Amino acid sequence: MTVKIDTLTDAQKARMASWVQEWIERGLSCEPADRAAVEAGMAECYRFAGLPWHGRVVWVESPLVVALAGPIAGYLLGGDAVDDAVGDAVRGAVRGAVHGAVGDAVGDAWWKYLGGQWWISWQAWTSFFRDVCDLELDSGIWGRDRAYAAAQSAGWWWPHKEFVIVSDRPAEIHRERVGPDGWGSHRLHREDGPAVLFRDGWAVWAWHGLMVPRWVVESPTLELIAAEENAEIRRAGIESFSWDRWLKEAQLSPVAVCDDPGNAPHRLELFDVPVGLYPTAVRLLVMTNGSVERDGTRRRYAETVPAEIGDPLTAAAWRVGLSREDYAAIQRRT
Amino acid sequence: MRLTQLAERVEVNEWVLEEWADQDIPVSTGLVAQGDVVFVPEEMAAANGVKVGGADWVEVTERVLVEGTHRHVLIAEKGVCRFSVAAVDSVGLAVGVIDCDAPVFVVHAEHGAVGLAAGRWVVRRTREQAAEIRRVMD
Repeated sequence: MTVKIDTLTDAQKARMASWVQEWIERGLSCEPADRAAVEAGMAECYRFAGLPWHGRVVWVESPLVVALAGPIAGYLLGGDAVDDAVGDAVRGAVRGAVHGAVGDAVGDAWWKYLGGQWWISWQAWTSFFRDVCDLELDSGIWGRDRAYAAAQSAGWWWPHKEFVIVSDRPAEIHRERVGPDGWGSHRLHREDGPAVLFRDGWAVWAWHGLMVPRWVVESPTLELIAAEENAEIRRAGIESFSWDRWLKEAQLSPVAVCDDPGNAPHRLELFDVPVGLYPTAVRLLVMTNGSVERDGTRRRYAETVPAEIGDPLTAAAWRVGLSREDYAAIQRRT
Repeated sequence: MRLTQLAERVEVNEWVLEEWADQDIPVSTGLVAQGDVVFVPEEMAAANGVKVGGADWVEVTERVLVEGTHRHVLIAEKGVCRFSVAAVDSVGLAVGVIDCDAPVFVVHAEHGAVGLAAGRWVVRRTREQAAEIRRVMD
């Protein structure tokens, strides 16, 4: 019999944070999948769904192959949508595979898949009640949950009546932290290569959370930036190229220059940005880092400020939300 | 206070430690910046759009003020420092308030350390004018 849980005990609450962390790590795992365990989970899912287990699991190295090969195989093999399921997920995905196979485009087939470890939040949530709270449910439910969790311990997968096609985990995931723990704490970002790399070489490039073409990260040029029609990607291209380098190559002179208070003997410089280059009207404030780099130099860097700001000290003050007069009294900037 | 003493608790880049080896960390009494974070005396912050709530104070001896590629970590002697996130900022940059009876220090792997004199300090992030105004993290 199911016993309802109304509140969590202090011990259960205390366990929550570490539980979340453990499951996030599973969700981001880049280890090769335990294929036998995943396949056993899939077989169980089929059994719970009342579907005959075909035993044909095709492992591929990236979701691109799943997206391309899945619908083609589904079309060639044919077969009806399989009825009844462990849950909507399995049933929907199986149906989706069939619908996708007869769909007009490969892209259309994508809408019903199972997310593997990318959908880990469900398993984290249910297992917390199962393993930490010892929630008792009607017989068989936890068995199904375990089977589903095992099947979801790799990448995206596509259950079909005749086969399963599943992508292994990626080899690398690179992120940056943008907030405290919790929703939105990280986003994909890497400045010298793909943010997500799969073992067959297929990859995704991301700039501060924005999916971008490879050139943005690995080989930005002024020509590519200028030719890019999407303003957000152009912005990412400029940032990747670096404003500092752009300023040098474009050989611009500053609109205004002043001493950098708190960081003598360095100076603050303000530059114009050509209209249309950047999605917003901005000027560039160029500063020199207050602390040294590994090689003993001080990094020069540029940040964007509103275009209506006319002098560098006001721009530096705007960065931290202070008046020009108050900012001028800064004691140190490291 | 020397940076080497604080580096036992917060990781600091080797070359930064070398640069700071022979000097005491200056203790600021006014506005001071550390990379993408500024420490604003309460009065100045109040004149620039920050309301300090004065609630939810917690005793701190060590606290990550701002996450990023590297963290800005507050280090204080026991019993001299309190922190509150109750700051309302008209431009949304404040992350909290430090209230201390004796100097405290904020350590960063690349930017070394800043000392803050006894008093109240609003911790503020920096911003950029992008497509949307966004906060800077280094």
